[in-house]
Amino acid sequence: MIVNNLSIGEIRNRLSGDGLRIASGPFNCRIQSAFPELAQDLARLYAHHSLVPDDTFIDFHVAVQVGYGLRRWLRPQARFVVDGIEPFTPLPRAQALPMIEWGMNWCITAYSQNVLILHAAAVARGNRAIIMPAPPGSGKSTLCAALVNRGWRLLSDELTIIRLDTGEVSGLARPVNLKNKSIDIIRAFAPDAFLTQPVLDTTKGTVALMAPSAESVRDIEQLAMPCWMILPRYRPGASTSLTPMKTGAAFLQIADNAMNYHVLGIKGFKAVGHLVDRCKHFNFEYSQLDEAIARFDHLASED
Amino acid sequence: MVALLISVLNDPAQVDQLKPIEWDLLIRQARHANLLARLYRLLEQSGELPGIPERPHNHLVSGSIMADRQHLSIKYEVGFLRETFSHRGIPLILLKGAAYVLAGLPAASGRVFADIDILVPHAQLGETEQALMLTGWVTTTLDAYDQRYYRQWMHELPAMQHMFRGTALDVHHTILPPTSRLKPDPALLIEASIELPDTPGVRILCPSDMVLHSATHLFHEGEPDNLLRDLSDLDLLLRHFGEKTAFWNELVGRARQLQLDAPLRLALHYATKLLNTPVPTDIMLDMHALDSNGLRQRVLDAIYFRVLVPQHQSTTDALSPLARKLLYIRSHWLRMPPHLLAFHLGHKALFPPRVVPVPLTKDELNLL
Amino acid sequence: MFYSIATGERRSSEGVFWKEVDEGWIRYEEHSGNTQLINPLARFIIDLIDRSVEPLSIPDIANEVLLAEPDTEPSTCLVEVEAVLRTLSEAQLILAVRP
Repeated sequence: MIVNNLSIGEIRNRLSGDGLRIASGPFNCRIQSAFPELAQDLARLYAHHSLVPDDTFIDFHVAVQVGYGLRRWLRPQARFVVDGIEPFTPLPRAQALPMIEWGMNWCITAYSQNVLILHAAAVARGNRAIIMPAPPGSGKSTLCAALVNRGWRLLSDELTIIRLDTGEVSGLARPVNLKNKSIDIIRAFAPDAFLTQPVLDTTKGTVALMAPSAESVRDIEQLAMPCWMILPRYRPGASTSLTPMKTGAAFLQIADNAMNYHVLGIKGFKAVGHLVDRCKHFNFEYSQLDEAIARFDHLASED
Repeated sequence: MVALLISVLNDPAQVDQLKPIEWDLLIRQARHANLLARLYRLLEQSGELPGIPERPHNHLVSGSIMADRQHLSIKYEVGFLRETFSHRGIPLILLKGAAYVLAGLPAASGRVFADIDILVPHAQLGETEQALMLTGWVTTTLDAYDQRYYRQWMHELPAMQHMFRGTALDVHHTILPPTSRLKPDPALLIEASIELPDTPGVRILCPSDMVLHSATHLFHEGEPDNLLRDLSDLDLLLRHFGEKTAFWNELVGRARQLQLDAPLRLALHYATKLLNTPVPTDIMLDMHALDSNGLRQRVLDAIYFRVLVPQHQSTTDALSPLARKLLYIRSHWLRMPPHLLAFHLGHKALFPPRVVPVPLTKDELNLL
Repeated sequence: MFYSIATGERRSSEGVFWKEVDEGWIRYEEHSGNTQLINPLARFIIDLIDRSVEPLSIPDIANEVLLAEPDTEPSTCLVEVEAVLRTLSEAQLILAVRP
């Protein structure tokens, strides 16, 4: 059973009741919320995700709830709660939807030290993955969203999970977080993709969520082996160029973008080392999305 | 109804029968009690690991990795402290978790930390603070009232943090504040302290004192989120040291010498009741730790049985927030004479603290 | 100025791991988590200092480098060695000691 099999009414009931239970790759999530307006968007964003039965183990019990006291009604707030813990300060109710995404990402970084967690996007062709670590402002989400709309499978746009035992990427196929200019760019680039209404004035600017492609979600259980590590950089007017990166620089780049490198200790050092050994590493500069994608397609066909 | 976590701690083989939603609950209770890593170690030692389903196993491993990293960091940090202190002839005496880890005690198993606690002689407190400041430790900001509160009434310097490494350090000169009704003499503790053979210059309390400190901390200062964890530490300490029959009489004798009979009695009472700690019956009788019927004991039971459980929505009832509030008041009552207590609590209400451990957690706010 | 391996319990070469990469090695120190990219000259010098019981002077070290790489120009060698020693000192991988 997938989310699409439920009516909006049923989704709303579950959200306000015992929770909407879905599988997001390696994590079963139970989502609760008293905000009825979330049902529509969640129905579109998670349309193809599998539902999990009520008696299954849930990894993250998350909820977006009403503000306390006055804040329930006056300049209403949303609070993110995970099993009784509130890791964030409340946000305006209009940001309830992206708050679920940020919250689920928080859960992964807080509670999943059994895997290597990279702050990176990852896409795959078949079972070969490109990992794109990215400091803010690198355009990784735009590039990631574009690739997903041109036949690449979405593994993750924000947190890439690497198993410590096999080195494989375990995809989440969750909605892609688009910010500011990205939103219009992707709307134009992929008119058929579902994007939520932009939410203004978040700490990250204007934010919209893009639904993952049906194929991405359908193949979520298929783990992918990292083959390429590409550091993207959007620069207006730049010509598309993929230049090899040395493995020492690649190691430091990956370690810098590994959220739990220090917690993992020697396991982290080894996991990053294996990743470095497995992949070809590149710096990538671009300004034209179509050209960028063509270059990636070419890369995938070469090897 | 015993919390699932406590049930499993007492009988790890139970996990063989757990359904997925019960595993779900167990993991969440353990996480809230800061016992996730300890649970992992316990299940490992009991040979239960191979049978654990993948998802709970992932969470247990995750908890365990966090704890392992903290242990490594603690050892690293103690190395720095050793150098700092030995240069200036100040004894370095580790307390609580840091002591368990450096001494390799069973109580170190899966132990997670917020900070390192050490004991120094009162006369060398000023030197200690200076030495620490010279090596990159800073006092975390407190307002002037809290600074005075800590220095004058409490038994520690205000919490310090290392500028670069971020480690938190609590420097104590007694194990209870000078304003407490009980006054265990810190000089006796320091005198009886033991140097660790593998790490010269690093000392820990002797076994009886370690147990008494744990008991005193639990019943006088404990924060609700860590009480079960602290009780579990106590259980592991007693099981380990209790293997030598001579230990028990030493413990009781020392408790009387330090005037810490009351916390020891409570410790033995609750450890045996909740965690089945094997304590010789004659010791229990000697300490009156078996009595459950006096009014005072029943009131204490009402408080403690509610707080000596994982602080999780699955184990709370309507009385729990009150129990926790009463605990805070009781802990403070034991530490400060009543007129000072009223002033302190009153002040807290007027001036919201910037950095103070707040005993009422968000869980409680949810329940109110 | 003489150099020796930064000593003390936290600096023992136990708990130090190396991974070979294009530019040299990644050095990882388990206790602290410190991770650095070390080039071949720096590695050579660290190993040299580590193996030596006594602290080594700059000329001692430069001589060893010349022995290993006889085609190097001596004055360039000295400059490079000094630069590496400064960097390694700052990274606290080696300790400068007074003779």
